[in-house]
Amino acid sequence: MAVGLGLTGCLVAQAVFLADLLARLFRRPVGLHDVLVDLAGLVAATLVRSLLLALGATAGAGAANRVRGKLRRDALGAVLGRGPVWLAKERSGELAVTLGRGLDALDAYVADYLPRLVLAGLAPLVLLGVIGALDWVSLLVLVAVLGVVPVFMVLVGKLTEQRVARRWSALAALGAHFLDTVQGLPVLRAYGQARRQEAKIAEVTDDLRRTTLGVLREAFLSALVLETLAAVGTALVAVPLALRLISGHMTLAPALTVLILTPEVFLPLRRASADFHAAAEGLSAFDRVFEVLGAGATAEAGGTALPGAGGAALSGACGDRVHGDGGGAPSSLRGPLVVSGLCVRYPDRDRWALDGVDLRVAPGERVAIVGASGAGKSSLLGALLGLVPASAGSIALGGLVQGDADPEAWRSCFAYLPQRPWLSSASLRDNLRLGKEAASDAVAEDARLAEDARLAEALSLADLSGLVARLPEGLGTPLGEGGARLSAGERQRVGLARAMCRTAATVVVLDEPTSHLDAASEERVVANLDRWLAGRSLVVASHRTRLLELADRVVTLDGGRVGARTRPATPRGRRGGDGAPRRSVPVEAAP
Amino acid sequence: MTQAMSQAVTREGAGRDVARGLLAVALGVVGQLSGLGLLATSAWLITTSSLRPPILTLSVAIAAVRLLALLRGLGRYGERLASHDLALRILGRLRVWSYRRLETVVPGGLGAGTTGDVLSRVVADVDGAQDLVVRAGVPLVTGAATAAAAIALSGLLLADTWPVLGAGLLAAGVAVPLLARRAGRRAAEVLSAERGRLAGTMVETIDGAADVVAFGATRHVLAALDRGEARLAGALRRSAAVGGAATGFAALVSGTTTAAVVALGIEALGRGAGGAHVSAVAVAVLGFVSLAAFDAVGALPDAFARLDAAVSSTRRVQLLGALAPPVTDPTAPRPLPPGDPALVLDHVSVSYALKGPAALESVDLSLAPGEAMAVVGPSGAGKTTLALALLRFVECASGRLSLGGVDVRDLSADEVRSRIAWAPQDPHVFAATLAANLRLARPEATDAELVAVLDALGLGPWLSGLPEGLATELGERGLSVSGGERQRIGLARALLAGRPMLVLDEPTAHLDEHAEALVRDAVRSYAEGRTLVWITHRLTGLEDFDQVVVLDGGRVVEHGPAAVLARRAGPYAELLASTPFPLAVPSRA
Repeated sequence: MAVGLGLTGCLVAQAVFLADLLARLFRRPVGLHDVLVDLAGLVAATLVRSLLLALGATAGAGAANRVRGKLRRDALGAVLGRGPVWLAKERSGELAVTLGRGLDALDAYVADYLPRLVLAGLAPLVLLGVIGALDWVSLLVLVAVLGVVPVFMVLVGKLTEQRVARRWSALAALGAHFLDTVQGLPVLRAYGQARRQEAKIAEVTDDLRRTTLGVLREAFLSALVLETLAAVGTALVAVPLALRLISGHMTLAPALTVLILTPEVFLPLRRASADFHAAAEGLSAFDRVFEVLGAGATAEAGGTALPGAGGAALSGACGDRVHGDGGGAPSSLRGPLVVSGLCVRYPDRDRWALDGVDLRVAPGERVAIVGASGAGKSSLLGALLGLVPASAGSIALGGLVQGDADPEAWRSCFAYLPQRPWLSSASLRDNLRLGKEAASDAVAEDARLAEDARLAEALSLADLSGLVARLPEGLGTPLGEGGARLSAGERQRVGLARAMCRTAATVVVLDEPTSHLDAASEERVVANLDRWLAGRSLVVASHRTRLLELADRVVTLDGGRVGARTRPATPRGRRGGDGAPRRSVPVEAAP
Repeated sequence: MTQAMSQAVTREGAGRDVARGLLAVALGVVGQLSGLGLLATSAWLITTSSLRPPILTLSVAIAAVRLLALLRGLGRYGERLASHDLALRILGRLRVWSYRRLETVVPGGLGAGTTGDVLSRVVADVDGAQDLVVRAGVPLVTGAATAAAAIALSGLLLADTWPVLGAGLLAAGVAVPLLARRAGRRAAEVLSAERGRLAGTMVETIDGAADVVAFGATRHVLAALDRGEARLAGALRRSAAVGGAATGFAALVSGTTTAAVVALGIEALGRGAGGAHVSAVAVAVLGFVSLAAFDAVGALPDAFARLDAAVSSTRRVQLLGALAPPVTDPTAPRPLPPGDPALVLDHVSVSYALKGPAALESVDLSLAPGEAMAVVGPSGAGKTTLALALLRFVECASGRLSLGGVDVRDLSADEVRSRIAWAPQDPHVFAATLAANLRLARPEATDAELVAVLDALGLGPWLSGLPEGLATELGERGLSVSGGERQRIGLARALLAGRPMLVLDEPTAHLDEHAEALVRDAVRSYAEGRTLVWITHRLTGLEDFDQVVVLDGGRVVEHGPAAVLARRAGPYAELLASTPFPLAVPSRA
């Protein structure tokens, strides 16, 4: 705003100095020394204007940074807050593009377009004021011409709107034809239709040209009207000025000033059409982000959002122990995990994913969940963590109901390995430390070494003791996109190690933890897991015999319900921390 | 442009295109010179009037002012239409040329992942190449011509001034934008790298949202985002500073040049009596000519920027000309024996790049007419490559692939394909009616046949819900179809083709178990008496296939009937044990 006013002021000053300078030439013979003041003024105004232009660009970038940064942060926070079920429903790829590249389109909108819009509203008013002060006749002429602009635009719009709209849809279809054909090329070739399309492409593109030109002939009319009115405005101002100069009703300096300023009055209007694209792109980026933020609100109303924050905090719970000493059995919130009447239904699904599941896991008890694909195993595990919202029923840990707990504190009681653990492209260390405070530089060297030792310990528990030595930068090695540097089995075990880094957890939830491992590796992992669990509860989904041996009890899920025949397997007393293989657990419930 | 491309582009009346280009430039120059003339004449009119001449001497100038005012808009209007006409004509020829190139290489010739993404980028580049005319070429030539006219005019009015005005225009219109681009290149690179990095972070974070939430890492992720945003903000500020400096500098050059031109005029006026034939009116006109000339070169920086993008689009389109077709027909193709030929692969290896890793390595297979074979394996195992090799979309680097005992290299690729009905993994649905989409392979299929196939594939209820049944428009601008529907439309297309061999690539990937079973049954009954290659990563319902082939890393690691493989402790049993169960919501509709 201030910059816009300054720029307009400089424009006026430039015009006044130049006009005054030129007018002096007509009064008496002059030399350069007579017009030094005007020349200096002209150059100074130019200089200030240049500085303001440069300053405006920087200020615009600053504003763009603030708007984009805030929107992106809010939107990502909202997305993460809504949870994976909501995300699965969205097209997550599209969402990522919207929050990534999509928001970059805002930069041009905020930094360039908005300031110009302000200037377009401001500058003509100021300039008309100056012109009016110098010569009211010119002001009247310009106001009349400017007043005609909307009339003409409406007329042109009325005249062309329907025809343009009709042609526009034909145009879009023609424009999309080439892409459509090229994308279908494999199919066309397979069925021997590809060559036939060549002529069609030539024909459609020629149609496209004809139709486009038809549209443009009318679409450019508004620009023609604007440009012509701007030029006519100059002509209409110039001629009366000349006539009044002849009749002596006018002096030269103000006349020249008015002539210099007149085109500037029309400049913002002429630019408006050129800016149209920047405006459209920026606005659609805004729209998409607000759609994301808005869709979340509806999702919450629909009951698919995660348990909201602001619930009772788990005082003295696992959350406080995340940075614990890393050894020993967890002591806090050791009550039973009780699932009662849990129902889960995904949006747009007819079937219940979980249909009244009851499950009680005593502290330290180990429960294996088996069942066919789609029986609801992963849904149950996800619901325990609060990642999958319950439609009905409840989950409680140590007497605290999930819905009443602060979600982050609740989850800090769990060590979780999803079926396909997600690894970021960051370092192995950062991947293992997911969810822990970033180590600040202030942390003493030996503390960091101690932490690295703990991470190495977790890796060796997951049968990855050789991994750190193999990676070129050890724990600091970036894992590449999605953990590309590792094999599927290694990714799974890094996920397991990550879960085992959460020493404060009281409940361990593992989804198919050994599905990618060979028998020897599985044997080592399960034996280590047995020792590491100590007094922790375990809920594991798996079909592997070796893992089922670890369980006190096997629960069968079938079509979202707990199978009819489930019984405790081994007496609790039989399981020790010695890691010795125990006898096979009979699985009674048929899958 | 490469020779082939320019030939294709210019074959049809290169002369006429040049004429159209010249017309566009001429109209543009008329428009811009009218603007310049309008200001110059107005200045002459006003300053002359101040000397109070008889009014009649002004009548020509008054008429000229009015005429120029009208020409200004008309010239620009004509230039825009003429340049768009030319650009679209070139676009048409470019599209046909690039289509001909793509036709020989898609799929298979663009590397392993010929996704729709690569193709849409090609299409975007072809479209982007037209900017070369509309947004870069014509504005650059027009601006240069107008500037030259202004310089000539200033030289006529006062010989001393033309070098000054020329230098100023050159600085503001050419030197400043070019220098700014050089100075800003580093900033622009950093800016685009930071934008790319942040976009990558967003993809990664949203991908891993479940784990991020499960491990309570939301705060850390947002903190990392803040750090990325801060770096991006710095890059944007630096880039904007360069841009702002360029704009400011151009304005400075414009103002000081005008001041200098006028000062030169005054000086000449002072020497005045001494022969330099200059009047106060001429000096005033000079000042206005200078102002208007800078207005005319104002569009040049933008045109230069567009030039960059348009040239790189054009370069990328040119690369199409260098792509070698992966499969070439023999000069004298042998005829393919009639009927349903047996398929034999003998040590077949396929790789996409000359030195790249093999996508298929030494694969041995044989499939008798009428047999059903399932191909399983993890993603990236080479399953799709096998299908592309069967369809002659990729060439075997070594080994022998024979159909009916004839090496496929001795057959015409079109003839091989005419025996195979293929449903690709991600079949394209064309912007056409449902019926037209289905009849692609067999135009004479009756409506009843179409309905029967859709019914068999479980699309009956979907069809009856369509507003216009088989005549419903599908695709981008018609009814949008879900992944499962699209897959089954592609499948229906293949089943309708009535060809002796069916190659179906992941035909049930987007379907739930119920629909999958339905589709499997329908395919088995349609494939009765035909050869079937069923590519899948799902291991359910493979019991009644004659053989199951397990691919891993491009090699056949196991093959035999499913029942035998399941009992053996081998790769198939491993796959069976690790069959992934989709987490949460499997289908992303």
